[in-house]
Amino acid sequence: MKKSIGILVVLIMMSINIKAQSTPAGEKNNYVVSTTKIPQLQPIILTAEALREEDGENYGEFQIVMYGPNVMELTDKKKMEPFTRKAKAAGVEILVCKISLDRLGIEPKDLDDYIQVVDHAYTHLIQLQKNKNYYSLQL
Amino acid sequence: MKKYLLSSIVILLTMIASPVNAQAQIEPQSKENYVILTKKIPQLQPIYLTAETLMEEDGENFGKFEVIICGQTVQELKDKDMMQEYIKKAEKANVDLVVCGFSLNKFGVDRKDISSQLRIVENGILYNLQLQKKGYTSISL
Repeated sequence: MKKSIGILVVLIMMSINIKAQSTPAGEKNNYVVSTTKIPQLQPIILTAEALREEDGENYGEFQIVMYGPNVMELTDKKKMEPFTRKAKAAGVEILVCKISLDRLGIEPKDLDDYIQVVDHAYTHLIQLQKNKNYYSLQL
Repeated sequence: MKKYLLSSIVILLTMIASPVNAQAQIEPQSKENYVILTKKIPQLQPIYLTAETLMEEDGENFGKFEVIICGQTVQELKDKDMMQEYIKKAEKANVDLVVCGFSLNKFGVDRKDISSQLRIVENGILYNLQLQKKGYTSISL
């Protein structure tokens, strides 16, 4: 009887230990990189691909947030196609700041379907860091 | 019977003790580490001041302070006289200077033309995010 109680206690301790260890591993790694220059998409997407391989199952989301006058180039669908194709393949979301679009008179429908619009780039970046523990980098 | 009880107590104690051990092992890594990504060489000056201030503030907890140099500014790395000054000051301020290899390629800087004291990483963006994953505090200028 005592023996079985002893074993039971040990088993309970072990299970508590295992649980405690598995919690941090359950959190995924999310990333957001902001940039004002379209050609930066190239190294950023390569970064996403490398992190996806490195993180394996822990790889969460990877977002690119674009803002500034260069977003005009996003309307050139032919030029954007290689970027959006690679981004799609790497599971990278591309977002663009609505304030920048408005300033340049660009309608969301002028953009490639894959590109999403956020109301305000800086607010979005801060919110991701604050609420979702994103690793963040501004280029 | 007593033997079993005793052995289970011993096992219990080791189980309780082991998480404490695990925490003690994490302790040395809990130093404060910093990474700054900059696109302008002259920014190194205020960055060094920041490193010196943090080193004083953190005391024994001050870990590593790395600066990643990215973008067109890498062309200025070819000015070895100017860079020697910056490298000297970096050593004094305990700052590691790291150069983005993608930027060197893009802006046509031959790796032979920059000081061998500068460490080159292939992808500066990736390197920054990897350091953040390790717990480095990061800003980009």
